[in-house]
Amino acid sequence: MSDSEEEQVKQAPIIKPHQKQQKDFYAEQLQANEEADSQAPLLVVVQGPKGSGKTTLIKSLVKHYTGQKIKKLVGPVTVRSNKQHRVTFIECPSDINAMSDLSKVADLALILIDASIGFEMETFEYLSLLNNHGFPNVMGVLTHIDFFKDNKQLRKTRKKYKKRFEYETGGNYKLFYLQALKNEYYLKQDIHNLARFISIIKIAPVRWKTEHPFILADRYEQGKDNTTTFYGYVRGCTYRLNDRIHFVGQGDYYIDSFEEVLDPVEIITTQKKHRSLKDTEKLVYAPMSSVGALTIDATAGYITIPQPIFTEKNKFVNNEEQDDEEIEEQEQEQELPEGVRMVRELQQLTEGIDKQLEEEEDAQLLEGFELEEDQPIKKKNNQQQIQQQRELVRLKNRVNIKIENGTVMPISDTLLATDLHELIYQNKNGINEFDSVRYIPKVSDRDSYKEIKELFVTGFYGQNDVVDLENLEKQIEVEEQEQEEQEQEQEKKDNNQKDDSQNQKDNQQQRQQLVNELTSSNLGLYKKGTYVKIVIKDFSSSIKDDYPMILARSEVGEDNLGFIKIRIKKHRWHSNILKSNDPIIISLGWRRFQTIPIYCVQDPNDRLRFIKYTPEYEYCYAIFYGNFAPQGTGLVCTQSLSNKLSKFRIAATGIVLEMNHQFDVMKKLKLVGEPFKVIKNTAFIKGMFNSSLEVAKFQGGLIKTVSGLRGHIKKPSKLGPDGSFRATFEDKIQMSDLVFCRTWVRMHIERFYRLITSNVKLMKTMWELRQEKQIPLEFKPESTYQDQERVPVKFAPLRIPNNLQQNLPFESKEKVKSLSFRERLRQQVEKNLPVKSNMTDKEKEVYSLIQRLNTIKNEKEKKREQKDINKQKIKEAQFKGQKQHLEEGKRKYKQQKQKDKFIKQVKKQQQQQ
Amino acid sequence: MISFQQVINFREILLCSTLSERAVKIEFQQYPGPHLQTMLKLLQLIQTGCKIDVNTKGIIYIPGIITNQDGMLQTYNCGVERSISYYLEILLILSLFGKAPLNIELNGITNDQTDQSVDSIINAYIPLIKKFCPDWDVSLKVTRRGFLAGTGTIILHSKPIKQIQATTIIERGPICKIRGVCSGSKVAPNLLNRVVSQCRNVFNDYIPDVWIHTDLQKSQKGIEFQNGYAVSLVAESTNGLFISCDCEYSNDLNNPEKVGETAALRLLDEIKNCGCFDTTQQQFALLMMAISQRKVSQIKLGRISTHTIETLRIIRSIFGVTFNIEDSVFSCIGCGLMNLSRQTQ
Repeated sequence: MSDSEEEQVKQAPIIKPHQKQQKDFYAEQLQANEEADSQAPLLVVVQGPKGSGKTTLIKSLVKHYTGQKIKKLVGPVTVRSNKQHRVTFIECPSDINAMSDLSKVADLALILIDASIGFEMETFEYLSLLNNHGFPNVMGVLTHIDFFKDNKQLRKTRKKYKKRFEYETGGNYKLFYLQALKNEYYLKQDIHNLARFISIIKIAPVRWKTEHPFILADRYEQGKDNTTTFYGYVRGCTYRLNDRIHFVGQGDYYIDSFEEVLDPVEIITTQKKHRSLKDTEKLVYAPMSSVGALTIDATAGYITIPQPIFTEKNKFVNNEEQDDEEIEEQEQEQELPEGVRMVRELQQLTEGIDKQLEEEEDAQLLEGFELEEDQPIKKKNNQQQIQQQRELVRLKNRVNIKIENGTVMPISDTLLATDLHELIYQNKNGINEFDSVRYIPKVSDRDSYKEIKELFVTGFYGQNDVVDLENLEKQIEVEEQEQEEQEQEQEKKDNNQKDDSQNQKDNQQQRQQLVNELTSSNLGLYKKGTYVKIVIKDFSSSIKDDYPMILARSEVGEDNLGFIKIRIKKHRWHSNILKSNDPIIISLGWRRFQTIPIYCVQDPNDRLRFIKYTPEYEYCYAIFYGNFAPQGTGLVCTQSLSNKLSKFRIAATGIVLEMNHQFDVMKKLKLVGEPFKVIKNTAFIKGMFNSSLEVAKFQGGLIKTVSGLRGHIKKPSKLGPDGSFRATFEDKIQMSDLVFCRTWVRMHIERFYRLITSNVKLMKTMWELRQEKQIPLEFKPESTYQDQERVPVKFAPLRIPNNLQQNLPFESKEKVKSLSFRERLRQQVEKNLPVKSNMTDKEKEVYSLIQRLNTIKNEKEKKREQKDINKQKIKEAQFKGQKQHLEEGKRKYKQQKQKDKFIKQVKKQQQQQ
Repeated sequence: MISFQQVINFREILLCSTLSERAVKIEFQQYPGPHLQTMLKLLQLIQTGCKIDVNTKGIIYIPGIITNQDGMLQTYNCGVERSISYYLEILLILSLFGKAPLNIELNGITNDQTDQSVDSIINAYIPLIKKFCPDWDVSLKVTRRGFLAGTGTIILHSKPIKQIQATTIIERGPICKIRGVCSGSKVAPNLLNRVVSQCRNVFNDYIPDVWIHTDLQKSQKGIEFQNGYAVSLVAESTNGLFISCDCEYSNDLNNPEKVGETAALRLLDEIKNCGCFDTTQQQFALLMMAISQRKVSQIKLGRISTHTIETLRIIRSIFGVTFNIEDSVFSCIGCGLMNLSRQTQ
């Protein structure tokens, strides 16, 4: 990793506004966690690219918790991790819909990263989905580590991945390493560590979930006449019964029935010394997948019997000995243990158990195991009991309520709850006699109110008119004692601040009790963590088993449709910018839908100005028609639902700002016209409008020429073509001027909304349509840039009239007088005329003499100069000649010398010879 | 769409429908009167995207979003069928869930015999709502009094809030103060003082801290005032709860002494029989509980008016909130209504 990248990693991640909100909210939640003791199973979403080992991880974890093996993993798996704690695992498919749905509901996301490949697209997509749907707890898991044989390289990659993961998640999140596989499971120690972290994790409350209850269905049953039954835990927050439910990814449905049923993985409340779970208490609940040999389908349960790997004794024996063997077999069968015999009988079955069961009555598979699962437990009995009680009480206390003068008056101090409750909610006829008026109390005697003196501050003192002195003293003593006690208490409080926290705890407990009471008193409230059964009628769409089934309550106001203004930013990894009026798929709240947004920016005067495309690295606003969701809800946009991973699928992310039934998004419009008649400051302009009616609408409007002369539209004129009008300007305009009228047009926002369901037909984007129909991009030649030929303009010279010139201040006056044409002409003529001399004769003589003398002098100087030049020439020639001569001499001398030398040498040689 | 049959009291249905943004269909037992039109027009004034279909048998009401005309000052004439406070009671709750602050001038009756007086709204009703949303910024001023002829004027400024808080109010505490306003127009100033003194006469047996203002409408040019006088009393408890009652001049109560005494006795009756909120306003306290955040709210009530029962049924059918009632303590978990029309940056 280079230095620059490291720097990037060190940078603190930017906290986005909705994250900040989340942070504040987190603090708030920690302060008052009302529903602390009723916990739904921790929802752990296992996400990763294909082949990263998601299924293996879930299988290993389930094996760790319960010792059971899952053969085929489908749907959520709930296990009991300890007495108070349950965990649900669900595998996340790499389908973008499932990913976005599961990012909304996850309590903890286990993100698997294949170490042999590195970070893949899905991981980043899922992280940004999590980021925008409220960040839950995240844990990275690095698998396929055995790919690296070299230890040093392994360490390096680990470090690199860890840093990158921390950067992407904003730090503080663990990255786990899973070593090699062993017998198709991860190593025991690794899984043990991971499980420990899962069990001690503190769940970060996500705002969306704490306000929106939902049910992640464990299993479903499709019965006759289109009724479908779903089972699952209530999660998020307390579920308030409603007539409708939203099946995420399918649509809204009316609920037929909604009731609490037996919890398959109950919390163990009995307190015993043993902290750990017994083997019998270790439970796994995975109705859709096959655990061990048992599979429960939508319609029936199956027991899988593996291929027989054993052989019955004596099966392969000679036919001859058969008779004897038969006898022996019979004997042996009697001897066989009961279990073995039963299995063998099962193997030899010809008709299924269900048929056998039809024949027999009161058949039981195993003792203590009840086939019927949807028993509304205890509740029914309770309800009956309560009703009986109520009736009894009502009979007894019939006189307790009196209806009189438009009010219900309790006669005794304690008004009976049951009666009033019934009066309000069960009596359908109603007491509906008046339009709303104020209540006027019936007044009786003045004396009859004497008894309420004690309801006043002063009343306590007026109870006894005559007070005995002894009593007074006693009272004073008592008061003093009380005061002392109070002081002591205060001291205690000061000393022990723990008391406050104790009080808070007590308060919380009280509140908790209240919540419990309310949820158990049959007001249509279901605490989170209750296992419920929901029956939906006319459920027509098909269900995919591997797809998460999320049933969410449709909240008040949130199933309404209207225009939503959001702050949106194109995702930095998405390859292209988004276009206004191009359909887009938005995942907002529980719903995913296709809609047609338009993008805009806000001008300083709060005008929403239309823009054609989203800016590349900047936030802008978008307005679309969709489901309302509370302000501050995050949303994610995608352009298609295809599972092709050719590019980053998340197109943009945003946050809800405002909802309304109309938004004024304006687009700039410049109307152009040209004058056809100019009279002083008035001009007649054509070509801007098409009819006089249009002109009438714009009367008094501001117009402007290119040079900046401002004006008003006055009235339509009869001169010129239809739609021409009279206008006045602040100055006379030129005939060659163009006149603009700057206006704003309101943009139409499409009311297009299509919920994404499993069999939805999506609207095509412009690009897709062009691709399909082979329509080329529209080309307008006049819209392209063209070379402009510009003829240089010759302007007449500036001339300032004399009058004006005189009145100018000195600064601006012409310093050198400019001449008029006549003056200049005269000057020229004068220039050409012979100059008249005004010298006297004597002066002339002198002048001519001097002239002549000068001529002589000049002549002489000329001659002298000539002479000098000649001399110089001669000198130079001489010098040249001398030089030549000298060099020649030198050369000759050298030659002579060489000659002499040669001769000498020759002579020497001769002598030697 | 939720349908209601055989309706006489449509106001609470329209209020709940607007708050929840759920469309309703109302079938009337008999035509309620011209104030239905006034009410619907007022609702249309403060909303966008609101659709109303009226015929002789009933109405279909599809609520929109409360924009309050982007905070511009509106003027609205409430007519003479019902007093201003009939509209104010629901307008105040609706203004909590608006996009912009509500600035409105309402013309009409300030004191009459069928509805609460505007003074009771100021002194008891606004503190009631403030119990559930402490940061609410509101001001309500009576600029002119109007009896029967509808010459009164009030000016209301109210800012929207985010969400209503869950509140537990079980103990009222002893009454520590009694305040009131005695208002009149076109009567002798002496008359109001007589009303006040008679009130004090009754309260003297109970509490010394009694202070009743008098507010006599001065004559103004171009306006013909109807003559009349009324007194509105408010009792404050040590826990900051207010109990109000009204009494006006009428044929039965035709002298100031009678008015004063009846008013005082009515207040005593309310103190005796109502719980933490007075009988007229209890239904709105219950509504505030139902639309508060998802936590437990509790209030203690005394006698329960038939309107409250009706409102409780409407709350259940629109918001799905059912109250648990034990020893006249009403408790529920709020439905967590958010201000969806609020603007955020």
